[in-house]
Amino acid sequence: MIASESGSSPPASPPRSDTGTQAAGWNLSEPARHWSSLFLLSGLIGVLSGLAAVALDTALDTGVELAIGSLADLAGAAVVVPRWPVLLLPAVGGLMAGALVQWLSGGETLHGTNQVVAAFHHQGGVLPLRPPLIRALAAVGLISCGGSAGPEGPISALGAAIGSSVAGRLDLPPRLRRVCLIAGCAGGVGAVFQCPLGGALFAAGMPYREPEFEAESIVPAFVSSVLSYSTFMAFRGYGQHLIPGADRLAFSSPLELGVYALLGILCGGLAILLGLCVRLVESRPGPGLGLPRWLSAGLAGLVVGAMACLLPQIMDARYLFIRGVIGGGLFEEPVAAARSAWGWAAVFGLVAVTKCAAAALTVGTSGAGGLLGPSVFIGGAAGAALAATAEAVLPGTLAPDLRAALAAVGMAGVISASMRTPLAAIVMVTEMTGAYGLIVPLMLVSVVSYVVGKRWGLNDAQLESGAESPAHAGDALVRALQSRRVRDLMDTDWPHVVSPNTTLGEMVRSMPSGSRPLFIVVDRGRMLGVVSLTDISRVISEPGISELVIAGDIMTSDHPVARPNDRLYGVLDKFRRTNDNVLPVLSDDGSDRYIGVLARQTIHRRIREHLDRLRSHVQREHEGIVTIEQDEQLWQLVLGISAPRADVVQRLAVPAEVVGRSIREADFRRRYAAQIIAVQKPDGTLRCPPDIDARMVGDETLLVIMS
Amino acid sequence: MLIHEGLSPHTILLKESPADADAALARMAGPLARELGVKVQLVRDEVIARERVRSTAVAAGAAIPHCRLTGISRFGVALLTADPPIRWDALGHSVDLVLMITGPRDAVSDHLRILANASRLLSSPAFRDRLRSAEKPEQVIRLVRVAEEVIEQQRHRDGMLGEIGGAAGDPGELEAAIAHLKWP
Repeated sequence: MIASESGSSPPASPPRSDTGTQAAGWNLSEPARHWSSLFLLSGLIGVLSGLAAVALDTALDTGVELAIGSLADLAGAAVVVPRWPVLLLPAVGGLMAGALVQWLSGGETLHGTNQVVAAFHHQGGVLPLRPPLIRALAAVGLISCGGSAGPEGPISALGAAIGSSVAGRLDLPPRLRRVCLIAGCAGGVGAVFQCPLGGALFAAGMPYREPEFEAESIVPAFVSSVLSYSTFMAFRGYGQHLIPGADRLAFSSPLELGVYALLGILCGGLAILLGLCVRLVESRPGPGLGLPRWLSAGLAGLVVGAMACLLPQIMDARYLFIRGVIGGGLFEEPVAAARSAWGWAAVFGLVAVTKCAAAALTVGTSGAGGLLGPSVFIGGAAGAALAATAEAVLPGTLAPDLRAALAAVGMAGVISASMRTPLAAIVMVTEMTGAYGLIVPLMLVSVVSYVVGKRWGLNDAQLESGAESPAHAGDALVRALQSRRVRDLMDTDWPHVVSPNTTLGEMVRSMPSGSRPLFIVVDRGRMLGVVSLTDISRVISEPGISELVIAGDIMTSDHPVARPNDRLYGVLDKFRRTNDNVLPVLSDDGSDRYIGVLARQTIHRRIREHLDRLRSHVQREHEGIVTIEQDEQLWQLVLGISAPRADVVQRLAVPAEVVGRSIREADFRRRYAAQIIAVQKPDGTLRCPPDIDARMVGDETLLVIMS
Repeated sequence: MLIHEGLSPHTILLKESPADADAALARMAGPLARELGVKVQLVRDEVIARERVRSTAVAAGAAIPHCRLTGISRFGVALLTADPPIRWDALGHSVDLVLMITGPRDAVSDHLRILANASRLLSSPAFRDRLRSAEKPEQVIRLVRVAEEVIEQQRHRDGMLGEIGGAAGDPGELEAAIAHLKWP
């Protein structure tokens, strides 16, 4: 050590402090800071998602009432009601929605929930706000005109986009941005379906085909969903379930299980039909004719209009028809009373099947609207169809309550398979209907339907499990880094601590040969800044400079610093912002008191030790993998390249005189007595070994071995 | 960034007779602050504070007072030739060539490079002699520009090996270039 105390120093601004959360005298522990930040963030996302849901839901109510609701009875049992406006209005909606999506939202083809899943896995949680917003507005217009789509998917995608955008504003890393994405989606679903718990479980489980949850997102999803639901209900009114009349229903006999099992199979089958229809439509854009989206959506609207002339119920996106089946006494209507049980079965069955085709046509061509709502509707219609069929085959066998219960439970069945979220489906329908007495049949139907139909689920972007998701690449390593703190690895005896008036010559003479240490400039225990050898090495040979320049002249005071209580995972991001091999460590109390350094090498060594232990665990637990290990492939897969000899590898900025020239042209090895072993791009990616004919760019970093 | 790019005819003060080092620094701070658009007091206080920490007298009657300032975006350079020479510091240095350098707080690399150039220029006897004989600011700017071009060419030729390996450019080249320089 040269010196660490000094009586005088040149003026300097203090080093950058990373203790923004220790404001106003609060001195929370790191976990408390983490959770309080996450709660605040999730709460904000929840409120914003809830407000978005209120706006869209209100607009939809008004739109439906003014447009298609004034032309057709969507809640009734009447069929074959041909009218020109009903034929044409969905086409108008399709044209309008298709045009909006095509010209204003970038022509994205994934439907609501699928967009969210794709953003989660493949876009680092980034879901721009504009496309989901345009699609949600397009969905309002489309559904108001009788389009056979649901608003729930677009609202959930909008909520997710809100979460992602909030995270983006705060410049959060991909891991937290994904958490915010899920929280926003939970808020959207929790509000619009009035199911806070179900919404959270749905959003956290939606990324995967298997029943698996995003554990890290669960708590934020809960918080967001609670706030979103509360905001939504404050505007829309408490006191009633989304689909009323089912809270009196209950499972009352084991004999009912057989019927419910049949319903599970039926729901699975309908989920398959819906999946097939959607894929058929989506694989043939512009019905195979190369038509623009707005035109194909308009033509599809015409077909849907024709279907609606026969079965107007398929235009219902507000669950009016299902409400009538479950609690509204639909069977007692005059037109219905005249219909036989077989007639009822035919109506419900046709509504369910036609809805599959109509929803696929509407959503698949326009790109607006979602399939989550139609899944609920189809499930309800399927349950009613089964009940009517049973009544036709064995009159009087099923009690009226059981018939209504089948419709309620059927909703969960189709969601379970089409969205591949069986647990969330059970909870969602329970909350939507208040039918807590139907938990047992909900479980049975959801599971059976999921097993039957999950292969044809609607969200193609879903991955099998977390093991396949880029979001979880390196989970073991990330956990290891999160579990360790800077204080566990820091070096409190760093020899290159200098006072601000230490001369350049003194610093250079203290450097071990071949090393490029970071000098920490300290005055009376306070860190004032750092001096990087990258700067020194370029001028040290100049006559007189070694005594002219002192540390205070050339130190930088905005160098990233670490605190003993920081987790290594977060600290690595700070290393990314500097070419230096160490970070100064300052006191946890938020002051500039210097206490040590954290070296890259130490972290590398600790990671290697951890991976070594991991490897031995893998060998013990999974004998088959030993065969891979024998070829030494596993280790290389984990590490990418063998660890460099960190003591001689240096990071250098590309020298100005060779910018624009290749390594070969610059004759780098001979010219600089240094061999480049890798080139680090500005985005952090490494090219190893380097391309010796590629032109070097000024903002690249060279990893070199000095001769 | 090079020294001659920061020089201006207004910041070159020839044949001045300041009473002492502080007076010289205060005299130079005025025009330099006006060039940079900052308060004179800021430049004067910072450069004097730096001088108090450690003398910037280098060799054979030259000093290179310098500081980094917050709130400026470019380098500013002032030059003063003193006649008679002034006592510069407590170590007994006598100085008649003062090259003052101020740079932005965040431009560490450029600051170091410009100091290195200043150090190399003022270590050259030929350069010092020509500077002392300069009558007009334009002559000084031309002298510094020509000399810096030689230094930069040497840097470009030697590359990083020279910088890392401790091989400064051949002083003979600089002496020769200065010898061939004709005053405007």
